[in-house]
Amino acid sequence: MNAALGGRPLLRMRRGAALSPWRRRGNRRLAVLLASATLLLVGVVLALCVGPSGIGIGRLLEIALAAVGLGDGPPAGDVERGVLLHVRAPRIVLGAAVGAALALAGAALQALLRNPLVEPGLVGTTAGGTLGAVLWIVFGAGAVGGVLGGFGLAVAAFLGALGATVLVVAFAGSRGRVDNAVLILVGVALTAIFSAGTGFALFLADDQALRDVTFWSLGSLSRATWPALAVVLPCLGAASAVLIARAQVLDALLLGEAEARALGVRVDVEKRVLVAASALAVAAAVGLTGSIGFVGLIVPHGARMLVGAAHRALLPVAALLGAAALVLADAGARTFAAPAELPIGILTAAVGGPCFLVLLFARRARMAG
Amino acid sequence: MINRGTQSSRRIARERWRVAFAAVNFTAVARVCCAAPFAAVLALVFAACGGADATRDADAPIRRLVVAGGAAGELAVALGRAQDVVGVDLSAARAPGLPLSAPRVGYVRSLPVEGLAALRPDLVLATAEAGPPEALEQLRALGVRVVLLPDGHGLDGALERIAAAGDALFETDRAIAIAEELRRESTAVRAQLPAGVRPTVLWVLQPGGGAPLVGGSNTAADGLIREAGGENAAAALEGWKPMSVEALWAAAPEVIVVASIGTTPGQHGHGSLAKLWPALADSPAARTARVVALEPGALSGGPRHGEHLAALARAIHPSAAGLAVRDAERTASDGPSAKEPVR
Repeated sequence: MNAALGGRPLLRMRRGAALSPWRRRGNRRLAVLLASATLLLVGVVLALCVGPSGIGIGRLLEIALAAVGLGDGPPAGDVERGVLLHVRAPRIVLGAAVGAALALAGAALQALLRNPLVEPGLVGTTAGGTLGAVLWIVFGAGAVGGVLGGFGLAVAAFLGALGATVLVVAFAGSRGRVDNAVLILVGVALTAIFSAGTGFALFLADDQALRDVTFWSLGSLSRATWPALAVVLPCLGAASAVLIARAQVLDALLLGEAEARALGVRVDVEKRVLVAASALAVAAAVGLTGSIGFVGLIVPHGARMLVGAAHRALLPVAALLGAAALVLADAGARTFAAPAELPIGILTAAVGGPCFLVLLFARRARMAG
Repeated sequence: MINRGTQSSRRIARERWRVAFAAVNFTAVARVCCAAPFAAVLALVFAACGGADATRDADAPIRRLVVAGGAAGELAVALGRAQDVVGVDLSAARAPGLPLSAPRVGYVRSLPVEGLAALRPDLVLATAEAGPPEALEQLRALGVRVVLLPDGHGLDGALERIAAAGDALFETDRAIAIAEELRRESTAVRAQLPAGVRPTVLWVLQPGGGAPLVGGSNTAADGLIREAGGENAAAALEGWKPMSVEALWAAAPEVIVVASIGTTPGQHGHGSLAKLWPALADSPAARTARVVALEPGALSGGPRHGEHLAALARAIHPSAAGLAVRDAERTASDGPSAKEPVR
């Protein structure tokens, strides 16, 4: 368990003698943090630049400067201005926020449950969100579609995801305590029940609804608009802030619950806070983007391989890498099949999987050699 | 978080802040700040320099057309605008006569905003199921003209779509002519239908084993079957639904229609049907070999609605002399749209 969570005693013992200043842990963490931030920044700039409409570099700068109040750019009706400010920019912001929140939630839950296979959806959140979305697509959109307009799908998925997590925690808790094993098992059981509900709704669905569900479940950032972001970003931001602030609690929890208690951590309260924050992050993300797999599971592992298991360094790196991963994946999704668009889930898995394998083998080679 | 006395917990909290503060490496922050503009400029320089400015006149005639949805594609061809099509979705691409080189923009229900905007269309002509709604809103906000054709099954739906497409493409006269022709075809078919005979018809969408997807009530298939003088064998179902083997057995359709992507007209004989769905192999339709394959566009309800209607009516009422003669003429003039039942 310890090795899988990125514990690095072997590495450190070997390095103790090497004493290369760059290799000292603090510097290494700093370098990784810097590299992650640069990667995100390059990703953002790249994502602004590429896309099927091929906006020229001069125009790009002109529009960007005008947007921050310098110079007068093109008029309001200009297509390139619209594409840049109302199509690409909100997608990038949403991608970065969702990627960071999912990676943080994954890292926190992996530490909390001390299980490397945990991803944010494991506690029933994703299955609940999917059920909410499918119910909306199959039944809700026709019946009460006018009430919520375009937000209906996002709201339904959000409520489904949050409701699922509330149920899981309620079932898993007894006398104020939440047992880890029970939490996972209840999550698995409720996931099965929600999947049954989703399956039944799909059985009742017509052909068009089926196709809608298919596209939704593959994930996409294309629903990003500024009004939608105004609702979702505070949720993602709050969840991320809560998780980042729990770095030391997570470190203590890694030692085991009894040890954490001995260190003065109110384990049962913290556990609920962590699960709630993760659920909020996943629910807000799943509502607008559909289910985007992989980021919440693998990005934390990658970050752990790079900077070790101490969460003060791990969490920021995981957030930056998760944000960069989604922003870059979306840039690819918009470009590769242009003018059509690939579902983003395909790209995150297809690119992230090999990257993860490279990290894994590099680490093994280092430990062996 | 810390379960101790207030004083010591405050001390510990202060200590934690100190540690957390010390963890913030100001060199790192400084380097990030330095790196940011550098990286930005670097990336901008390496970014592709393309995209000539194209200014569009809102009142200009439609020279660049994107079609999405089967009926939209067929209407663009029928109204003589096939050469102006610069983008098609997967379902419109099936319409015969559209340029094969036109870029594909995905599926009509998941249209990409930037992908469409990049084609700089004067008009996006789409069927009613186009979406997602956010994408259509964003496209309109970008100044792209988006016209959705009305929904509706049967002849009336087809006529409404023809009129709407004619208005959108400024081809009203041609649209009126096409609508007239369609009305005439439909009236001719109805006139030939034998009174009082309504065989049960099962429309199967998915020719691939398992529980077949059949057209229930309130589908384009249902409308077409009733117009062609048949009774929908799956009318108890609402929409497109998989039908269980037992229900197939009980439905006992007298005619089976197979129309789907990947279906070649005339491909489905008795043998292949028995292999896919044993329950159907024993139905009256299979016993009398009245299994027809229509081309995939039969359900789109576009300008060729009359053609498909005639083909289906002939399959349902093979003994109606007028239909057979009419169809023989058609076969001689522009090729078959449905084959004889395969034996």
